Amino acid sequence: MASSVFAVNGISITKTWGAGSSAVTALNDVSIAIEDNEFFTLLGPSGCGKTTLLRCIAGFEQLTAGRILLFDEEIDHLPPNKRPVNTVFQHYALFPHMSVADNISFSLRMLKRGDQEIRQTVGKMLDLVHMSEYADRRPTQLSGGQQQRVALARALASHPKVLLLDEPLSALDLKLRQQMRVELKQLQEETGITFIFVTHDQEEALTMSDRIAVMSDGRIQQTGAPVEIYEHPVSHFVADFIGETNFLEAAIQSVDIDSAHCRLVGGARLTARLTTPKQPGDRVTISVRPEKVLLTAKSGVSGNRDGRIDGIVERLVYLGTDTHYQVRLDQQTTLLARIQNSAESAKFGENDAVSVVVDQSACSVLAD
Amino acid sequence: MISTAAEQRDRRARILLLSPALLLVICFLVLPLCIIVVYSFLTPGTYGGVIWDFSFESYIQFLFERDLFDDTLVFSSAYLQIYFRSFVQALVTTIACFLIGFPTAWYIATLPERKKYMWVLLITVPYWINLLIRTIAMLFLVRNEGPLNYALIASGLIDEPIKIAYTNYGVGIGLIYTYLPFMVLPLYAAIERFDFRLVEASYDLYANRWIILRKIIFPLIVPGIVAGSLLVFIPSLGSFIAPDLLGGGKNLMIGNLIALQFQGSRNWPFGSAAAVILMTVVLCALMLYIRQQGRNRLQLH
Repeated sequence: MASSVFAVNGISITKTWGAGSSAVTALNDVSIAIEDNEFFTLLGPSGCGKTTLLRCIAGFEQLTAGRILLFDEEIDHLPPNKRPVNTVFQHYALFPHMSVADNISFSLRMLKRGDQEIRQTVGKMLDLVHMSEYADRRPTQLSGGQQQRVALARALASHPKVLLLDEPLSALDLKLRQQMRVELKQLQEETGITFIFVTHDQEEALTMSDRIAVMSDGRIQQTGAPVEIYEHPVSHFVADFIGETNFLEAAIQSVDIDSAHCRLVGGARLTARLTTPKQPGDRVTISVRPEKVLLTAKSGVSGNRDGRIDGIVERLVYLGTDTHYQVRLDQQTTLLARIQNSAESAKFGENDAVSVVVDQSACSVLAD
Repeated sequence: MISTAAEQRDRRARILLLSPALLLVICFLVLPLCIIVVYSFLTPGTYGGVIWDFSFESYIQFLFERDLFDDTLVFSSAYLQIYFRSFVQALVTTIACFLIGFPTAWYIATLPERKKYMWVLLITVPYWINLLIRTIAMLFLVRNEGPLNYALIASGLIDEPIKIAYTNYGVGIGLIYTYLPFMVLPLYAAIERFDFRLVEASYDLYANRWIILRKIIFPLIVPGIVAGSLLVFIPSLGSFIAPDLLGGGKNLMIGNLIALQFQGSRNWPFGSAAAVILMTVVLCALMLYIRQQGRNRLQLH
């Protein structure tokens, strides 16, 4: 790792607004290392600081503390027009008084590139985003999706070292959004440019990203590949923000290298993945994804075997492809199980006694 | 075309809504204008007023001097010079108002919502006091023995008072002061509608501040610049109070010339002709501009 140069390396970035008691901390000692040619997503609810972080990298915000390196070069003292990074804005911010071609060539003209080169690059960019027929149109004459493509082409035209995307899909309707996800990912692979993508949409983040950083309250909660983030969230926040989950209270009985044997409040035993240091005896929360559990008819064997918890179906909701079972495990705890309605899956009714089978890979001990 | 009863009723309602304004415009704008145009083609009476004899004399007088003895016409640029001087004065006023007004309007438009309205209100405060009184106050301020010169001499910056009152500079200052708000308000309205994210976008795409101003901001607030310029230029061109008081009536401007014809000179037809010529020039310029705009817009689409 020491030899590789990060595309963006943010070191202890802090950003506060105002001063004294009314000061607001948008970014609290955030460190982030984004690799070259990576599709990196900053994911979090509104107000978590993800857009502020993006704007710090773009140069629109001055850091209160910390440093930002772009391919090992310090950029935090440079104004936005001196940074070789470009932004795709949430509402595109296309220049309404210029044609599509003029919008795309804007950065090249600012960089004083030759006419020949400008013409070629604009042609290439229009091709790249499938907008060649629209070169002479004005942005106001385009649909939302087309404007989106022009904004992408405009930001990519000067071949920036890093492309910053600030919720660029949020203004599009669902169908278009899904289509643009695929296109964005393709575009990133074709151009080989590092993309930093900001979104509050977990599905968007999971489908496009090489890595995701989940943010809340001005901090990065977890960074990792989509699978890692989804299957092994480290905190309450990450587990809850990405997809549905069950939280089970438990006490640790013994600890292995990367797993912990836990005992639930109701007496059932579970083995869960452990990523943070915990001691036997610690009270912890375990996150269990509802689609990772199985339901079986209650076994005759009394008592709870490891990974098997007895309960009673309290409520069920039929959803077509899936059925949601709400299973009561004990007085305080219910567990949600999402079972696919395949031909061989067993069907249960309300008040049926069942056993919930939880595989070790489906459970994560949360840090908090 | 067949119009239904409902459509007819709708149209009648619309005309009814418009009628008070229409009546006002006809009585107090169209009719007086007609009188002025008619008067400009009549013969002056000895003690003011007009004699109902049709004549082009007023328009001839504008460009030519009639020899007292043999009645031959000699070209004279005296009145053209007055128009030219007024034109330059109005142009300088407009440019100065823009240079002062643009930063002001920008400042106000970028304030938080609550403060904005306070400032817009402050901009209109001068209009709560009569223009004549404000101009006289200005005269007192800038005259040779006035506080401005007194302060400058007392501070040792100058030995002799700067002559501002009764010069073209004085007139200029008076005009700028009078018409500045007419520039600030339309500019403010245009800047307020301006999407500041475009500034960030262009800044991000390697443009420097000067280019952002020229290539992004100015083109997009053109409507405000044009409205402000028209609102300053046209009244400056025919202004009367500032040239009369601050200029001391030494260098005649169009406004003074016209006023003089109806007062001292008692040549109503010539005064009317001077007014008609001014109006025609301004209207032609405006129409050319509008047509040009229409053509530009057509090219856009």
